[in-house]
This record gives sequence, C-alpha cells and structure tokens, in this order.
Amino acid sequence: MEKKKPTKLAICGKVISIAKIGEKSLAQFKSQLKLAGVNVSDERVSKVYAACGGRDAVKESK
Amino acid sequence: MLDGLLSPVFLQEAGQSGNGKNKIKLLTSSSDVSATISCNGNIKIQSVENGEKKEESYSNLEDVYTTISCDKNTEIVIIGDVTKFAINDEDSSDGYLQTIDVSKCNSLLNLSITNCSYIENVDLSKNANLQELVLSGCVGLLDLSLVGLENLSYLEFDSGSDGNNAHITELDLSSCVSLKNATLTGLEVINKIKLNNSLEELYLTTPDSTLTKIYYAATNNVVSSTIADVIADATAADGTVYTDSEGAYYSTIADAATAKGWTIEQL
Repeated sequence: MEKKKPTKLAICGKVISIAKIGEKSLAQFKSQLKLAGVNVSDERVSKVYAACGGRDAVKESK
Repeated sequence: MLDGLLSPVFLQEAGQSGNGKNKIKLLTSSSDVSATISCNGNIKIQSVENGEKKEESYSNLEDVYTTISCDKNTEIVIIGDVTKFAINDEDSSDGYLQTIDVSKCNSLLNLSITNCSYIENVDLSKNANLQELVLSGCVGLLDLSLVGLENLSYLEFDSGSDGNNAHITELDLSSCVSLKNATLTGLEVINKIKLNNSLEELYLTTPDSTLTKIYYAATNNVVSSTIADVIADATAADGTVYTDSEGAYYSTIADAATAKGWTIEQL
C-alpha cells in the first residue's frame, strides 16, 4: 500500500503545513507554530518536530 | 415514510452509533498520541490534559498528521466521520497504546495500527466499510476476526520489527470476498488458514509455525504457488490442504502436498 507522507499537521485546533519541514530548523518550526497561534511548550514542539521528520530532529527511543 | 427513514432505528441499522456519531476511542499510557487522519466533515478530538477536559475541532482533513497531548492513562475520543486512521506507537513519546476501539466508527475505510505491541484486541465486527487494514508489529494481539469485512481489498498483517505474533492460531479470510492483496507474516503459532478466492497477490510466511490446515480453492496461480512454498517449508509432517480439485491450479498445490506427505481433502 502506498504510504502517503502527511503534508499537514493538526495541533491545538490549527492545521499547518509541514510539507517543507525537512528544510526547516527547530527554531523556524517554533516560529511557524507561534505565527499560526499554536501555543505549546518547547518540549512538545520538539517532539512534534521530530515526529514530523524535522531536519534537525533527534528521535529519542522510548 | 421519510420520518421512518430518519428515525434513530434507521441510523443504527446504517451502522451509526446510537447517538448518530462515529467515534474512535483510544487509551494510552503516553502523554501524547499521534495519528494520521482523514475525515469527512467535522471531527472533534476530546482528551484530558492536566486534569482538565479539552476539545479540538477540525474539518475535512485529508492525510493530516494529528498530535494530541493528554494525561497518561486517560481516554482520547475522536468523534465524527473518520475515514482513515493510522497510528504508530513509535510516534508517542513515553508510553504505549493500551486499547483502541473502532467498533463505533462505521465510516472507517482505512485503518493502520503499527508497532502497537500492547494492544490485545481490535474489534472490527462493525467496520463493514473497511477497505484497507494494516496491523504491523501488533504482536500482542490475542485474536483477529475479519468476518464480515466484505469490502476489504488490502490486508497487511505482519510482525514488524518487534518479534512474531505468539497468540493467533487461526485466521479466516473466507468472508473477505473483495480481498485482492494480503500479506501475512510472523504468525508463529498459526495452525489453520482459510483463504478467499478473490486473492490476486499473497505474501505468506509462517516461520517455524505449526501450520497444518490450509483452505484454498486454487483459483490463482500466484496464490497457489505461494501456498505450495508454504507447504514445502512447513515444519509439520502431517497436514491437510482443503482445496477444490476443479480449481484451475489444483495440481500446483496437490503436488506440493503430495511431496510433503500432507493429505488433500476436497474443499
């Protein structure tokens, strides 16, 4: 089955584009969320950034 | 007449839940859950965070990655016509999906549950519209019933990277009359498989299993050849293949069974 890579993120009632998250730093992603009115902790932003395949993400194992 | 059609009884018969809303419920030991969702119309996601109930609303999502923060060991409810739901436990931060209830989500067409090794059951008995099902790395499943999934055309049930399934002994695909493509791997203790005749592609491996009974009418050469390989690789010296001697590729299966010393019975 074709695994379609999501291009949008739904968080805190907002939908934002993550199509180019591979080109963005964590700081840029934080700014994008802030501009969209998404208010979450830095820790949460880092987790979401990693889960979405952010450029500089370091995925922690559980 | 119209009044009758719109009655609650009609909605229940149409597969909707009692209050007319489709729902998916999740219970997780993690502080967040992430899933890829598609939906028709509006959905609401209800969860508990810092002891308080919260609700997020979205409309007409199409393959949107959704992440929900929550208190550990609390329930998340997604209300609305979800058509696709794909969850991977590797995306949660610090815990595991404990249960998933899709039995009140008749709108579901595509369900993917990956690396959720702690879930023990998935009730699909009310998901008659389901077309694609992926259960990858759900090695804790105790049972899997696919009865009534007449629209299912794609099935992927594999062990993922977290060991083999050590519980499921029987798998019956005979009522999945639309199933064309099936991948079945890592079924360590399977001993009985019933296949359907609509299959066009089958990837079946049963490493070190105790498989002794296979049901297939031998209507497709690709599937028949795969079954022949499974019989040849079987560890059990005594087994039975139930197949149709009128089936187009009967000899493929029969030769393998004979070579192995297995019994052939008329399906």
